[in-house]
Amino acid sequence: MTDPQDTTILTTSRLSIGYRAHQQNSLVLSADLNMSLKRGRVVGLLGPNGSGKSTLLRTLAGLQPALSGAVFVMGQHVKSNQVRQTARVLSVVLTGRIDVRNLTVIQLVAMGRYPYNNWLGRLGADDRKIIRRSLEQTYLWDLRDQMINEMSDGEQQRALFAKALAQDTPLIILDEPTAHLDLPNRVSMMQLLRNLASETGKSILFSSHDLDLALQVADELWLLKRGGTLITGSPKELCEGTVFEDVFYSGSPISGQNFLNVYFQRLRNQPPSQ
Amino acid sequence: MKGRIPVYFVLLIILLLLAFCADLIFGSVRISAGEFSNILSGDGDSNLTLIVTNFRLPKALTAVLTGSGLAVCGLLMQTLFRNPLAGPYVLGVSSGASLGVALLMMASAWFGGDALIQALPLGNWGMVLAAMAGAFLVMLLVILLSLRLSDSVSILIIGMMFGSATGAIVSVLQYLSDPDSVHSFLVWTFGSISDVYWPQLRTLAPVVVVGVVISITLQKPLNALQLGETQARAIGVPVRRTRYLIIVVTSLLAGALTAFTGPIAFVGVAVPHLARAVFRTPDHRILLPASILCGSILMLVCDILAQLVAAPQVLPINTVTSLFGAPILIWVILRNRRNRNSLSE
Amino acid sequence: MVEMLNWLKWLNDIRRRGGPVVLPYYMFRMFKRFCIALCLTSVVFVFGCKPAGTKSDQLSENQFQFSDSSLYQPRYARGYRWEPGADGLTLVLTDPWNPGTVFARYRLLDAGSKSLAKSGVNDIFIPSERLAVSSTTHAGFLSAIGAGDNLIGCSNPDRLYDSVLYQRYLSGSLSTIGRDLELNMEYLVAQKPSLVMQSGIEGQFNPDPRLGELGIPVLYILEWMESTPLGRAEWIRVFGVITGHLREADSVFNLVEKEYNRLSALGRASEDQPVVFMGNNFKGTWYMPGGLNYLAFLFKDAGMDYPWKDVRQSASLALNFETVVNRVADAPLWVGAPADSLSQLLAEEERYTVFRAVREKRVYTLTNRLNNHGGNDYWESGVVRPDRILADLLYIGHPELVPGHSWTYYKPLIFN
Repeated sequence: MTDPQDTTILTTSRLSIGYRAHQQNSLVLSADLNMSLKRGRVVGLLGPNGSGKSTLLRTLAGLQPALSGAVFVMGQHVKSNQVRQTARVLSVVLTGRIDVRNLTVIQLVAMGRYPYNNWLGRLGADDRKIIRRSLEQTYLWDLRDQMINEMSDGEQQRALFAKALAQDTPLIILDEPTAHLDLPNRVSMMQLLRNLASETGKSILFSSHDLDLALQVADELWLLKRGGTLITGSPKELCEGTVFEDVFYSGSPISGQNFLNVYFQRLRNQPPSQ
Repeated sequence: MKGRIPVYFVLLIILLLLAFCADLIFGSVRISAGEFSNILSGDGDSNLTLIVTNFRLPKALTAVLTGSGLAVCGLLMQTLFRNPLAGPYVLGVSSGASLGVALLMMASAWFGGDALIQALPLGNWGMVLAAMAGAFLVMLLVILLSLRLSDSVSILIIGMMFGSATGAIVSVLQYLSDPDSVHSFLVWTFGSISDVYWPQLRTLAPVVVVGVVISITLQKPLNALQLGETQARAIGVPVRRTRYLIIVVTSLLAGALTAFTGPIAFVGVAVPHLARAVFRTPDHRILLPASILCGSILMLVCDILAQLVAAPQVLPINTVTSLFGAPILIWVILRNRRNRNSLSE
Repeated sequence: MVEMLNWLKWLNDIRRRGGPVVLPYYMFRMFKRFCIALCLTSVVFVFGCKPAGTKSDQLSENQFQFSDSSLYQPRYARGYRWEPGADGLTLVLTDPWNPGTVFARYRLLDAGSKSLAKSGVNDIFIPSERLAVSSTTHAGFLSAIGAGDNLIGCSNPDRLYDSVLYQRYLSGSLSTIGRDLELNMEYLVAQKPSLVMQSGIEGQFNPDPRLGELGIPVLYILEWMESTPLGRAEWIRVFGVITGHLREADSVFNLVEKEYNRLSALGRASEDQPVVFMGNNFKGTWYMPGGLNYLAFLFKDAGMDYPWKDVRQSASLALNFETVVNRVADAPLWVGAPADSLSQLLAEEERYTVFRAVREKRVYTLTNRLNNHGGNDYWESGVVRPDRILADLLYIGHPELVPGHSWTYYKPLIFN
């Protein structure tokens, strides 16, 4: 697909995700997914635990093989064995502390250029410009010589995001970027995603448990129910109706149901920012 | 800080040259500085020249090969498994080599191998071949398993299981065997770099050089692997292929070195930490050459000490490397523990 | 009666364990056994007691006459001596690890008096008819004095050189009692030996207590600790006394002594004393006999100069390969090389070419009398006949002194 008018960055075709245990026995989390993501959009993926959010993200990112179906990014089929080509069109930010000693922020971010440079990891002038820009965009330029393992979780997450930016891909996927972060950091991370998508025109797909922040920041929400059904829509659309209850309640009744009802109601009463 | 790195390299190279010369000078037979310069200029005492060229020179070269080879292996293993205590023998390769040698020395009478040994004047090469066969077998098994397993920790555990299993078989062989054979085998396990002469060097050196060169080409994937396999894959590093290559190179290096010198403890595990402590960078572009230099220097120094400490008797090299290596490892463990308790959630 | 004591002990055990209920039953069983034993003992008394003079007369031909005890005290061996006493002859072993102290004392008692004497664990009844030995060297002594039939058990019998003994092993009348230093108690006891001989490599007087309980004495043979070759050979007399073949032992030893002294006089008088060394390199270490080792004495008696003759120890020196090369690279003679042919030797270690002895083809091995199942006669009859070893060494260093000699234990390396 080389149509220049086309702004679809990611599409899936009859995608089926899950785990292949022993040949025939596979655990299918979700089947026959057909999604698409356009340029410059911020999309939030939410759902209850066990719905398969992480699995879906990893499959989309090519980190896990799909059970069937295909994922296309920029018209390119994402296969889990063509890592280098995939890394040029999509970058991934994962949670988890980096435990490597003596690794500076700028060294970490420079690794984002790996899909483009030679076996020595040589950085040209262009590479250095991109790295600098990524660090500035994430407000880490002044901290560039700090050791990663001595930074706070929020700063580390930002550094990993800077690395993804340095990778200069049209699509950035983030797996729970606000996990383990305190409130100010959560908010600033989300805001960062929003701003960068607008400035750079990159598409961002993130998963989160923060329904309220997601509603504020995302252009589109993908809600994954337990059982595999995916419901998509803009925050405004999703606020009308009982989608939230449907998605988050599906399955056995949970305690605190009344509290949840109030919570969702309050969300609906706060209109989203766009 | 960046600017200091070339300085450190120059210092290390100078240290290496000094250690090399010292290893040629110091030994059981006393050679004074004057005599040494005579030998260098070509008209030294015939016996002493003989000793330096036929005994000490091959030994010093072996020390360099062993030190660099084991250090590189250790670095590869520590990065692949993200475990600071991993070393070249973690895949069970040296246990395989031990088993080969044990079978040769202690059990060859049982299956008619004795007749074979008498027929072919293999001598020293017999031991080398037996060790390589054992190492190769274990390497094959580990590679086959790594193709089916997607996660490195399982490979680590399997390697350790191989080590235990072969160790058990060797114990049984020792129990059932006569004292002379057991003693011979025991002496082999002490490690020795003085047994490698020019013909053996001609085989060992290319293998080590090839292994080290391949490792150097892997420095970008190695850097990426430090972040974790998933993160590495996300920046376009072919993790499966890299893992496979690392296992092959390590098995080759560790197997070949163990076959010629016997198992040498601690060098592979301790030297990468030394290199990291000196250069303070996780970049394998620097760590690999640093490990090569530090490993060579350490082996040469250990050899010199082995000659001098208990003169006129020579200590087995494993004794000295353990004396160095153990404190380094203890320091590493303490340092890691201290860090883990600080910061973070 | 040892048996009664055992029963009382056993009874006590039962009492402690079984209690009053079980006791009468066991007492009855004990009583029954006591009666049987009484009957048997009386029978033995009646038939076993002989008028003085009959059985002991048979022994007296080979037994000691201590009219002149100095004749029989060892002249070269320092590890044993005889102590005639009121109640018989005692063999005293001196402790080689603690000079001046006694390692063990063995009372040598008439075999005919077995039932009467109160025997302890160090009592040996001679002549001892069923011997189990832990070394083929002991077998060598025995076959040299014609007492090969007394040997019923041996360690590593597959490594025996003597064909008669080996045949007995193959036919089953000589059994294995274990491998090397590990004696298999079950095999050993099944052979019902009257005496077990051990070499005491562990350095302690430590006979297995189970043998003591069965009344089997353990005789330590410490010939290997002797410094001189004749000292080692003189242990043949101990074997002679134990088996009742003292006359043969004396005649063998006298021959050995005469021949050895004749040859060593020739060797020592020789003007030319070529330098000799022995052993081989293993993993960088070369074990070289110390100056007080019997090999050093052999070299001296063969008219050879041994570079480490002044080192005051009999144990081997662990030298570095380099040190050896530095010292004897120009030595003309190498004995005891670890291969049969030059190609084998160099396959072991290519650097052996630095030795002048190798270049001049004067290398000798100990394997002239090595059979196809690993038995080397050097360790068997070689210990008994140091004169033959000396003759070999003279032939190596000074062939003109032993014209017409043919190789016994040594032979030259095959150079091809």
